[in-house]
Amino acid sequence: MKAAIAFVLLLASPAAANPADVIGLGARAIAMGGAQVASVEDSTAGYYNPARLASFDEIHIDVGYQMSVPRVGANGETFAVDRAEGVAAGIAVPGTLLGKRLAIGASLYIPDQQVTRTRTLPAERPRFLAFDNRPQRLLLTAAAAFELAKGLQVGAGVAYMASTNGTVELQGLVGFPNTADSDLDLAIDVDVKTIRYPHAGIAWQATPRLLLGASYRGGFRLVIDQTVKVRGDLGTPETTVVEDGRLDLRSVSQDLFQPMQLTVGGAYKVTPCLLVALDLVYQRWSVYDNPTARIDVELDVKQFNDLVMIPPARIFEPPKLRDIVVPRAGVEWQGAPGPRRWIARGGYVFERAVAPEQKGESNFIDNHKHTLAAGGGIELAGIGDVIQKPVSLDAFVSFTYLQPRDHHKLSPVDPVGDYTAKGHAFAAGLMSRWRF
Amino acid sequence: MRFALLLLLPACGLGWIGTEDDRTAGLPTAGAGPYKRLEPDDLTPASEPRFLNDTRADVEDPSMLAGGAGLRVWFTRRTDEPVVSEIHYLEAPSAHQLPSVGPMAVLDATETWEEGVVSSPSVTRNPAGGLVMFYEGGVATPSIGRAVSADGVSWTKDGDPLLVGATSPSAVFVNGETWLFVTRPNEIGIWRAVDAGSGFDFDPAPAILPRAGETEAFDQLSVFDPFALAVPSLQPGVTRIHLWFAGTTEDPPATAIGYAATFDGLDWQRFGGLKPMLGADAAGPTVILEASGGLMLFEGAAAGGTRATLDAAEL
Repeated sequence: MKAAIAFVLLLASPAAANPADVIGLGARAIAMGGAQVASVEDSTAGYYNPARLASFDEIHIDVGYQMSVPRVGANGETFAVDRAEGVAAGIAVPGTLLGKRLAIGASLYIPDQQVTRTRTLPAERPRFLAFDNRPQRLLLTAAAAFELAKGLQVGAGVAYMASTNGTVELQGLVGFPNTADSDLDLAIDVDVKTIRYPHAGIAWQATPRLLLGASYRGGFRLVIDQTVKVRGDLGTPETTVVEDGRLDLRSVSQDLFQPMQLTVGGAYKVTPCLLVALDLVYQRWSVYDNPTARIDVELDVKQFNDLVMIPPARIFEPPKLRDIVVPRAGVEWQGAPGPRRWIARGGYVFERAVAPEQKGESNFIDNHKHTLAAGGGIELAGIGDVIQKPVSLDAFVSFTYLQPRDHHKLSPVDPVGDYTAKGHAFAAGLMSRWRF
Repeated sequence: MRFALLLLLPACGLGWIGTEDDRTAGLPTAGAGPYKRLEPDDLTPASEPRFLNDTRADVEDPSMLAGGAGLRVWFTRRTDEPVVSEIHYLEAPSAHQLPSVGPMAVLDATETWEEGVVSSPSVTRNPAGGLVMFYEGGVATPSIGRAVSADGVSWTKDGDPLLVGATSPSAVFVNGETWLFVTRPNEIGIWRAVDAGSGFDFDPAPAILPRAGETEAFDQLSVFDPFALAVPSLQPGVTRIHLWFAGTTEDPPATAIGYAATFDGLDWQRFGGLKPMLGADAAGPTVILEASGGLMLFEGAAAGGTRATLDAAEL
């Protein structure tokens, strides 16, 4: 069973997922351009700023669904990049300890096809950094928050990710020259391990109208380490050509990467109905490693070793990504309180391209990205006698425009050649918010 | 309505927007190679990888452009008895379809210098409009002639050859100049001749030479049958010149198609190391490039016979 699960994770079959760091988490947050480090007010605080959990008076349970459909390509052709869709959910439970407010919370994003997907591509194959692999994973965060002083909260938590290491062993007879003579015993040993990265935040109600926040989210890289070992004789069942031959193949690759992120921001109530929020997010992309698999092959076919030439492992250039600061701006208008309250939101995000122009053999494509988001919702004061706390239903749409970018190749024999990369992504979703 | 479906169908676990299994679909490529012969397909009328077979003649030296029914192909049709070498033309919707126009003769030997033989067409779009064909004529002194056409079928020849002592032309237009890639009798390699407005002059050295010192190289013995394509790069004023060509080895005797490219016509780089872009009995390439692939026609050989055929391969 363990092996079966592992293989599901290893196979590069189509998947759909969408972690929060690409389009966001939750309808309210995405509609506000992700400017949430201070303004977050639902269970997604576990992701955006865990400190804000300690400001809640009620239990929050949020459930929603969101999807993103990228359409990106080059030279007029569209790449086969998967859409991402899944369930976003969260819970926040407040309480008190020694007279101080505290809370725990969890945020979850579950892709609705596979838990996570990893994929290692050949070195030269063009891929969009933001859309090709990064969105394809499960997100699970757990956090706790504490109020240090009135209006000052801190929080911290851990996010989880699955990592895969495995070995496939084949032992027996390798048929030669007729491979149908092969008689091999198969043993698979694959571990699905968790890796964790921390996140933490602080929030301060500076004035009755101004809330400030900051958060830290640790980076991580998911390394896939797979080994195939073949041991045995080479020949026919009657005649052994090579006795105790050996083939070891090991592939190590960085398959998922999340940059360390530092966010500072504020939320200001211009009027009781109008909130504006601005975040600045520092993302440390410069430590991104070349994700191409490093493959080591060892072959021992005894007396035939001189006839086999295994090429040396290729050395890949570092991708030389750059750190960026991402501004996020959001605005929220809320109607007057009452049995039904209407809410409208808007947001804008600008992300500079983290990858330089691709002049050499690699093709890590990234573009400047402009995202416009809008959303709305309705908040009911309650539902009959059953639920007497506010219930909200929020929706969002967002459109990300990838500014066209030319890549000029230095070599006339570059197998990919010059190209112009461009595209867009459309996202939409719903989230219901419940308080108890 | 479409938007509503977009929201609702995935929520039901149904994929309205399909995900493709072929992860290489749509990727940009320069088109260098490697190329792979078309797989036989029982659902198409063609006999892939064969594109054209003539049981009474050799068909060779294809030159292909996109257009017409899909593909426009000019080629040499050569018979031994009687000895006739003409340039023929066909159109086909694709390399998987039979010709929908032709094959038909469109150019025969009429000029004295052609000595009864025309062959090796290189057809390209004329910067002045219409099409221009460079072709080989002559036997004792093979030379390169030129003809122009509005429709690719009716051709008007220049009276005299443009370049004397050259064979197998392939032409590109680069920054107002005409570059001809040819082979030369009694000279090794593939040569470039440039016409900047006052007639063609050969470069002092060949563009591509066989790699005699590389015993593993596919072109260790000879290089010939050049096919050039000029593709503007995204950098203003910079053009990438693709050059596919045939190469041979002596032991074992084999013919294959390789690739080199340049930005300036002088500094050539090969792609693929010592390996060809299409191996095993292939020569006379012509290529159409697309953003995410390429189609190559080349000279093959009819199974069990010695007749040259036109076969197809794709990237």
